[in-house]
Amino acid sequence: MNTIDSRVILISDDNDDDVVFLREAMRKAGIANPTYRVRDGEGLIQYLSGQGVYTDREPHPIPFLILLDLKMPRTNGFEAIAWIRQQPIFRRIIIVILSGSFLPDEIIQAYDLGANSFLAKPTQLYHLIELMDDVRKYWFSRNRHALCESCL
Amino acid sequence: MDAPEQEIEEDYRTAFELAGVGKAHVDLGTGRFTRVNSKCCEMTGNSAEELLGMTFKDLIHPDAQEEALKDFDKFVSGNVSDYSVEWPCVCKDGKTMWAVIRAKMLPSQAGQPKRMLAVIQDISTRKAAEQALLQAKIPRTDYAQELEQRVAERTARLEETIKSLDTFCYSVAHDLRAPVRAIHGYVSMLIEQHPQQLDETGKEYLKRIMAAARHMDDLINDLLVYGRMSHLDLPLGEVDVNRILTGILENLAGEIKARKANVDVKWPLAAVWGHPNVLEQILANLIDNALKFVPAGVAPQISIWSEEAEATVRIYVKDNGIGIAPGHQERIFRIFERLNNSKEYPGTGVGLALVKKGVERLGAKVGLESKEGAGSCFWIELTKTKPPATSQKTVSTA
Repeated sequence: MNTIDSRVILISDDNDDDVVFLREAMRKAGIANPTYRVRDGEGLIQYLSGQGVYTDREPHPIPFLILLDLKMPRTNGFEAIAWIRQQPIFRRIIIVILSGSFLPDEIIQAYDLGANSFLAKPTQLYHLIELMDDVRKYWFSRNRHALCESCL
Repeated sequence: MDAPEQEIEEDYRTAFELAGVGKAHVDLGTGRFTRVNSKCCEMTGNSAEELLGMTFKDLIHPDAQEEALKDFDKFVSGNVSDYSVEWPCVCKDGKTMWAVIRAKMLPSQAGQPKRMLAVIQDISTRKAAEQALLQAKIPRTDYAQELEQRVAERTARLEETIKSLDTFCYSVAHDLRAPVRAIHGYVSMLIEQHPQQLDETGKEYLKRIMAAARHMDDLINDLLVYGRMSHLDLPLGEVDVNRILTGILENLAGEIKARKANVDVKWPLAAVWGHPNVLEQILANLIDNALKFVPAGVAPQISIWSEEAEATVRIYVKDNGIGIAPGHQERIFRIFERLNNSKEYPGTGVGLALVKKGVERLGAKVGLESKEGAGSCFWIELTKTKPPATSQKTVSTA
């Protein structure tokens, strides 16, 4: 790709190690998009609604895709999805769950609330790179997305 | 009064007086005793004069008076022809005497008030025996009820415990994976990004740490699957084994190729009664073992086929592997049980335990024929359709 893909990825995960691996895997998988990170559902909601430290939109742009962990302190992933889908302007943001926990009920609940994809966190970095490569190919290339204006 | 009539009256008086039971005439209007025999006096401890000054109600125990009066009214109004009741009576010394009272209307005589003849029998002994029996029974019934309640309570508590243990196990397993991910991830980044700072021994150590982390992850994963297999609700139904086997072989395609294995399936396999995910776990583990447990340098030869009996289907997985000595054939189904060293045959020791647990949950059977060094033939036996209710129950409570 000649032009830089500026579609923003927002990572929501409380585990610092997992975020290190995720960024490494994204880099290896050729995902060069601007990436931001929040630590929990509360941070995610604040980021999206431009509250607190996120008032300035310029350094905190609206994401194209959210990589969301489910088990986070305070506001968990489920609550975050529910909130996001209630906001008309965020209804079409791509939410990809990336969770270390994947009980059948959790998967069902995530989709029912409006997640677009559910991925399990792999243990091996190599597998995480493969996974991020799939994410890049599918969500950033193959998939036709109904872009909302604020995401352009 | 002429002679025969007098004679009758005399006979009556004698019979009345000498009877072994209490006899009394009661005025239906007032309820007063108009005539009592000596047995009445003996039983109640009252003299005849005293009794004649009392109403029948005075003899009844206060607790029973209301009921007794109702019965008496029914008798008087003629609704009851045969009057036979049991009432507790009060004797002169305050003791309670249980009496059975049978009564009949006396033929009315001109100028006389309506009367009844009451025959009174002391049944205190019988009542006491009955009471004792009842007393003996009540605690037994109470005890049985209490036992039942305790069993129900404990079952509920046990179910609660199992549930919270399941949740606990799951979250422990889940939380254990995060540090395993961290160990594995940082070590692989060390090896890859800082190779110049490491000598060969250092690199070797790091590889071992990675292998250990991977093994730990496998263990955690297997335990999670085993746990889910043990407690998840499994609605059973007809399962297409062909579709499941196709999926398994696709998943194992890389491994099959790498090991230069030959997998010979006698398609199609018969449909069975079960649960697709459980059946997949069972067959995948059996096939995986068949691929894995071969002597070094031997290409695995695996045959898979099904045989139908009247109501059941057996699915066979046969290999040319290292085999299992008859003495060990029971042990292999235990969790964490391993017969071979983990260097030659890596694994968690959960695979066949999963097979056994899965087979239990499906109400099926598992077995094998094997000799050391001569390959193994594992089979599972399932029903073709829903088995009768009894075996269904063992499945759902398993």
